[in-house]
Amino acid sequence: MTVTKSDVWRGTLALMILRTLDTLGPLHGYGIGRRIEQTSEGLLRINQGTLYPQLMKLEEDGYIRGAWGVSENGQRAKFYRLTRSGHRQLRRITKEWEQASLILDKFRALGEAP
Amino acid sequence: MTRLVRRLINVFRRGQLERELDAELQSHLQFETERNLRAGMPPREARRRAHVRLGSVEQIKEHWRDTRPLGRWLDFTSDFAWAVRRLWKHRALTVTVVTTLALGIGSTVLMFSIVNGVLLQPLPFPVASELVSLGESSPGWRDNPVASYTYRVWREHSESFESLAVMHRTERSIEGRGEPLIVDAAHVSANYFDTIGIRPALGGTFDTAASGRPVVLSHHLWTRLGADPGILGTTLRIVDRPHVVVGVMPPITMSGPFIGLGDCWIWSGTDRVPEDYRPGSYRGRTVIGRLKPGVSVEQARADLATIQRQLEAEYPQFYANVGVTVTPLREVVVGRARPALAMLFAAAALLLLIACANVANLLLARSVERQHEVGIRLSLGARPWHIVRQLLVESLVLSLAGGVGGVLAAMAGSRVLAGTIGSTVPRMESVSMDAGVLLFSVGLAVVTAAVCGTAPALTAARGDLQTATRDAARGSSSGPGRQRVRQVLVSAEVALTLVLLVGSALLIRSFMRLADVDLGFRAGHVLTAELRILDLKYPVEGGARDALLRRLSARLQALPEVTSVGASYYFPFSARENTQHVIVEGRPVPSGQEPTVQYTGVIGDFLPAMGIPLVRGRLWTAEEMWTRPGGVVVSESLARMVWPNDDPIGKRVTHDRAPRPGWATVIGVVGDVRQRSVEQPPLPQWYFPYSNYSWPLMTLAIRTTGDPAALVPAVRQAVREIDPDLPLHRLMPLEDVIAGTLAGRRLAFALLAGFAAVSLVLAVVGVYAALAHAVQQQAKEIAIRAALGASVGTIVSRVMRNGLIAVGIGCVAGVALSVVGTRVMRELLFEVSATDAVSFGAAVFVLVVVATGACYLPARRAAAIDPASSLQT
Repeated sequence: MTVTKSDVWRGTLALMILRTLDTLGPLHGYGIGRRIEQTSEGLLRINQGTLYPQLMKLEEDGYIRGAWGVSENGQRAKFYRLTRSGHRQLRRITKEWEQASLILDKFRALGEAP
Repeated sequence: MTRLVRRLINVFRRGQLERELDAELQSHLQFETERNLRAGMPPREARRRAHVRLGSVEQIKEHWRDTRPLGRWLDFTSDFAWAVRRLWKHRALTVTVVTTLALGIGSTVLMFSIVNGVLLQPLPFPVASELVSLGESSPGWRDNPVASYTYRVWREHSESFESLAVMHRTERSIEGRGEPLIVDAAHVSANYFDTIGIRPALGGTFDTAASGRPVVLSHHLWTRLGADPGILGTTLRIVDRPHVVVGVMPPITMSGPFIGLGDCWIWSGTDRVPEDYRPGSYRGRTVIGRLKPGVSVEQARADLATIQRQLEAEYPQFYANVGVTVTPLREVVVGRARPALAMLFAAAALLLLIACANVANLLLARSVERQHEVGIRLSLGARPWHIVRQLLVESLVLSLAGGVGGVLAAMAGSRVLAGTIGSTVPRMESVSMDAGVLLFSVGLAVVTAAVCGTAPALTAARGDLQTATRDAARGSSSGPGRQRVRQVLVSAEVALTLVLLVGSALLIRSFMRLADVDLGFRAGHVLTAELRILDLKYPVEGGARDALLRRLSARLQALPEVTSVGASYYFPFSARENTQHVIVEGRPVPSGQEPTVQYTGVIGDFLPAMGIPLVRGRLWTAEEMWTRPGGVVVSESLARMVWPNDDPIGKRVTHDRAPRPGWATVIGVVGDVRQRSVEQPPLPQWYFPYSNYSWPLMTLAIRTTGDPAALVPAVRQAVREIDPDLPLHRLMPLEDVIAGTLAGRRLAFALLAGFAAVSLVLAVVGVYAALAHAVQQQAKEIAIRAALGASVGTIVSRVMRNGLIAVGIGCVAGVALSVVGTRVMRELLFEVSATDAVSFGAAVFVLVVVATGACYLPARRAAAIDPASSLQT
């Protein structure tokens, strides 16, 4: 499944990035992308072109903070970490998504037999 | 809150952010490649897949940029910074282009501000479009002064005017505050100030009911007299008669003797003319009118023409064949400057076009070198519009820099010009760099950017991938299309330069013709001075005036190195003249049809002092000059006109304004003199002894064997010894007076020649650069030829041939353009046709010689190309 550029998806991408950083700790951009693909169990192939701009946007919004460093195999990369407001934002978005999926579930159940 | 702050800061960190994005993408590619390698792919494949998976880096950056706030706008600022960096890197090209543009834009802005100030700016009078100058016309002459009677009739019977004022300008001596001064005075009617619409700032105008003689001073004169605010009511002696100062005018930013703007205004009393005033009196008044709102100049002309016809019917002896002219005031003030200004503006525009062609050529050459870079960028996914935009911004930066340089150059130039030519060009004082001029130059810079930036930008972007890489590999230049464009540009430059050169050549020949003109007198070694004799101190009756004049003559004659001394009332080239009607004894002629001649009264040895040759007969004896004045000397053309088959000597004549009855005898014939200007032919003239007239003003002519300018202090001293109160005005060598009348021509020529010289330099640079660049691009081919045994001569002539073809085409086009273009200059030429073959030939010759030199240098360089090293790269 390829990703289309829509606002909804951009929002989910943000959620996935924040969640990944929350669970795995500081990670560079490439690593985040790989991890998202792994988490979706291969169902997701990220448009890598949108990942990095999205990371920059999150950084501008203050949810993550990036710093240049060196990876394990000696490569230069920018490492991101979640900030305190990033934590808060993560909790906020997660709750919204949970509510949204509950509502959508009800609608999905509508079409099925009572 | 902090988010907003961060957003704001990031607006300025845009460049840095973009670089970080770029770095992250590179880092990503490295990771991906690494991963592919570990998966077992060969290195090439690993890298390729990584790139394909990511997509176009350029596009990612573009899209990111689009999401930025102020996305599009900030593109320009980053383009701007990029352009500036790049231009700085190629300093030589940048400096050449900026200088070329500065010259072109600067000269155009300078000419435009002069044209704006002189021709376009409104005159400093309220509703100046309503102001007109009225005059009479007779066959061959127009806008002549009129008689007081004519003025009164016009005033009483014309319906077209709000008000009609009359004036007559003379020089008067003023005393009362320090040294006596000679000033430009205008005798005006009481409604003069209302007509021009400017009233005194201090005090008021003339009260016609009051007695006494009122005078209004100009601001400048008031300042000269001490700027005393209490000057109202005080008395000044003008021509020895007391005048009361009733007003002081505000400063007027204009000088104009022809509209009565001088140093002071005296009431002429014309309004108080008795009812039985005679027509046909002295024609010396200028009339200024303010049209009624809504009345056009044509309507006024028709109206006055009707009135004039009635006058003709009533008094045919004075008004036969005399028409009326109505000229808008602006035309009077600037009309004569217009042809020269128009020509110079056209010349400046041509210079600008040449500068643009040069710049386009240079930028085109540069774009060839950028072809490679552009191709690669296009293949990496950069949008063509982006590349075009960058190149356009670069051109804009260049032309703005050129525009700024041009404006600075124009400002410096106008300061220099104002100092040197302020007296020659009317209204120079109102020339300034105002908003209009700045706007014009900014507009010019932008247009130049569009013109110069388009060709290179479009061809650069259009260059597709294949041609770009192939050409880069071959190391050779542009395709035939691009070469054609450049050749056309070179030919265009050459053609336009030729037009300017032809124009300059025509003016040079005019000058040479002017210098050859025989003025009828010998101007070298003559000092002139204007003298005014105070009426009351030296009245004519009793001989006091004559005694003074004789003493003066003798004293000046006694000065060392002086050979002859004389004076005349009307002097050549003095813009003062008058005419009389000749009445010959025994030859009655119907009134109104007598021959008209110039006249003057002379003192002493005026004719010998001026070097006017005696052709027949003799000059006056001392007795005829002083004690019993008699005898008249006529000019050759007068003799031919009045006595075509007879000897004039001994004939008796008089004229319509003779001060005393009786006939005068013609005693001699002298050569003709050009009275008005170098261009205008001599008019029939006769000379009477001065004592016939009672005018107190005259111009001295003192011939010396040495330098006339060196005589000035001695002359001043001599006059002061006789009477310290005699004001002596405008002591100047006669040659300077004549040169002064040619100042306008000289100026127009100097400017045009300046433009032509600059454009020649630019064209030469353009030809050289184009050819040098072509040689550079074709280095490999030339090297091959040389390796194959072509001689130096062959190579040189091959290279030069291309250049000379372009130059040749340019010359032909230039000649064609010049034939059409120089028609515009016809009014400025003197005895030279607008298609004068010698001028054309000379201009073509100069251009071809110089252009050939410009072609030779790169050709020589081509021949010096070392085949071995060129072919190796």
